Amino acid sequence: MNRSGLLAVAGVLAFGLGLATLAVPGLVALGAEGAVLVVVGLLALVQIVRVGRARYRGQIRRAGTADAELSADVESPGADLGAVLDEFDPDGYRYAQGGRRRSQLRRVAVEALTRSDDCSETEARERIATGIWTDDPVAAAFLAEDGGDDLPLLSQLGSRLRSRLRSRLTTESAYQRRIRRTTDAIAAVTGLPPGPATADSAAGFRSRSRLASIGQRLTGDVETGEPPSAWDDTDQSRRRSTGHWRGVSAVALVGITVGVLAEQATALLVGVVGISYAAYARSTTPPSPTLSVERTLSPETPSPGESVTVTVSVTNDGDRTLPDLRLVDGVPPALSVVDGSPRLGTALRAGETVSYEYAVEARRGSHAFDPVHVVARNLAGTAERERTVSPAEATPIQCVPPLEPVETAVPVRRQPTGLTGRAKTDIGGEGAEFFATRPYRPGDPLHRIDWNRRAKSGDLATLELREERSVTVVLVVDASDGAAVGPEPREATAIDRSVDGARQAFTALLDDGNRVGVAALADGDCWIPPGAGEVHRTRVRELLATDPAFAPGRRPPSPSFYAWFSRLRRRLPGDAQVVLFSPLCSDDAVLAATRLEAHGYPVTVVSPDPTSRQTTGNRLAAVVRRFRMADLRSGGVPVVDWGWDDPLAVALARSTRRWSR
Amino acid sequence: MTGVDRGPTRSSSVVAVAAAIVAFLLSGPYDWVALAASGLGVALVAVGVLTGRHAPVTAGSAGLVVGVLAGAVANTPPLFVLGGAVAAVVAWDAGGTAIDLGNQLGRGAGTTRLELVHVGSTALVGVVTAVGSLALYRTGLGRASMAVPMLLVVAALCIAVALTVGSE
Repeated sequence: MNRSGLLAVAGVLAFGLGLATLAVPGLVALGAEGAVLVVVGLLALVQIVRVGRARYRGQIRRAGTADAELSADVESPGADLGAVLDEFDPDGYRYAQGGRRRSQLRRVAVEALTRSDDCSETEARERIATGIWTDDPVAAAFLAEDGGDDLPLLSQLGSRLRSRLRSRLTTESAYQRRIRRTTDAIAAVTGLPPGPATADSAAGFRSRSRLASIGQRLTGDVETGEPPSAWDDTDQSRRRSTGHWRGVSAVALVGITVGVLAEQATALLVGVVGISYAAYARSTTPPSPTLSVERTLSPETPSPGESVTVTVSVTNDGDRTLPDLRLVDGVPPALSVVDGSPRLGTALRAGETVSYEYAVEARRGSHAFDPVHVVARNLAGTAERERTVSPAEATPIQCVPPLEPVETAVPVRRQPTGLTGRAKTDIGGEGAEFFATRPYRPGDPLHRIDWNRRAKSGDLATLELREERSVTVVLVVDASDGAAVGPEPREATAIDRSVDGARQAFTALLDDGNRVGVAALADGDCWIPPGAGEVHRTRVRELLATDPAFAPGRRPPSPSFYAWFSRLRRRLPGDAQVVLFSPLCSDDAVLAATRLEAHGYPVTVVSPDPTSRQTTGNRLAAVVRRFRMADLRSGGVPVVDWGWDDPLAVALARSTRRWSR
Repeated sequence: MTGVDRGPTRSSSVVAVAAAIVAFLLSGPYDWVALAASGLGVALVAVGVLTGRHAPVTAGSAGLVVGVLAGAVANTPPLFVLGGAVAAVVAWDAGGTAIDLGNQLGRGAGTTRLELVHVGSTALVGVVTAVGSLALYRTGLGRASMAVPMLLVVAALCIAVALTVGSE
């Protein structure tokens, strides 16, 4: 028996002896009562302090639960300003923190000037060094070679004082302010609309969140465990003592001490209450729940936006009552709860079943549920056991949206195949649109002779019409980790947008008699060769809805680019052209487009714009995306910039109008 | 939906504040110190369940216990002392449960049955103790020699030490 057991036994013995003395007065006689009183009182005081400290220091521990109701978080492009800037390390070696960021920004400014003002790199450097590239004095001084140190001493002092004052008043430091102003100046050079004029808190650098650490300190009296998604092994169960009743013995001690010292018997009664609760709290064995879970969905195959009712039934298969059962259903990460709650707190008798329901809003994809997170406590709430329970039959929510064509022509590059279709070619022949005239050759059909010209000049000429042939198109959707970004947290990502676009483009192209295939720039193997017909249409519809590469609500692994590219090249038919859907937030997509173009596959890029203007990092990411678009266009790849709030048809129509001008 | 409301659950919060008020009413009228301490206790418990933090609830319940003891020293009837002590502990337990339950399941979840069982069992322990010790008191604890309370102090000490050692 251990120490605590011995003590408990001694305590119970003393309690019994006390009761016995009460029944038979004079059973135990104490001499020198005053001295004993003081000693015992002191001991009690020490113990009260100990208990109090244990309560104060020792944390309350409880299981943590995930935010199952919310769809997964979506990062905005450039959420980490440092990571965006690190792509512009000029020489690779490390500067001191401030100097490094400054030289990186200088690099960005050079790239911006060479692209938009068409000047050479030396010219751009010259303009930045002298500060004439922007109207903003702060930005100009920040990037100038000398860092603005040649200002007169007095005005330097004044400006320092001013920036000190300003950084006291706002959360933004002077350094962050300079970076923000410089980024905005560069954005102005590239023609981006300016962002909000207010300072964003902590210019977007990570690991500086003072607010988070304060919040942690405030809630520091509780230690919250990790939700199952963070466990190494979800099959294992976890137990902990919660510390819920810790400190209740102080009530007993204080009550009895006060009662003894004040010689007041009623105060002793408080001590008795304390003792009885301390004994109640002594039970620290967590229950071991044996549960079975059943989950039913209605409907199982909803259309997007439809609400799906999920009914969860939990049965206590054990032979003991579970007095305190807390359940959190594993809602698929991409879905959000629109009605009710996926959580339940209940008590369950042996063999009893309880069920509850909630509703989620369906989104494209095949959404598997995570196991149910179960936290069971004993009656006193002093011990808890966590585990996960999966239903015997796991039914995912299958949401396959219908295929709807985009209402405008998909811009394919001019490239004929032998088959008739609706893609315009640069060949004269049969068709609907005027192409050219040529001298009459015997055998030309009568209705193609240009009779107006015959009447005017007497020559016989034949009208040539633009031939329309079918093309072979492979739609490539960028589903790499760099594309899993979006302007709004917990909303659609650029991958979702790209898949939407691909679905519309696929339908339109297929309807026009082209052969269309689908591939994904992703870690997994996602590929359907170009084809036509209804079976092909259904296959692609399924793939675009439920392929794991496009699964919403998770950050995809980053693909190894060269392995992916060589696999794609082996599969692409020689006459194929590629339409690449990518937000252009990583270099992989640019590399893919330029390499495909170099290998003779005409490439068109359709780029949903996931950038936001919220923080400095966001704006810098938008600038870098502009660079990528400019580079692609200068390499002969047409790029459709698809605004986040625009329908695809609008973006396509706008771009084709610009190209035909 | 903007987030999960992880505030303390309503029913247990209401029980906590109500129990705190009961403790205040049972001990406050008999003594100025009791009035002040338990008044502060009620306020702190309310703050704790409103902000979802354990520390004010614990401190407030301690205030209630101090109030009950001060009332006891000032000759409050034993039934009221017992009722006040049980109410103070129930306030503490219900407040802590509301906060933990709110954090784990949130306000949107159906938790009434769990809360009823938990608070009910805590109250039951209190009532049984109160009835038992009141009977004990009537048999003549008030007139017994100092040896009895002394032994009870030792018993309490031993059990308290055993509990703190055991739960670490």
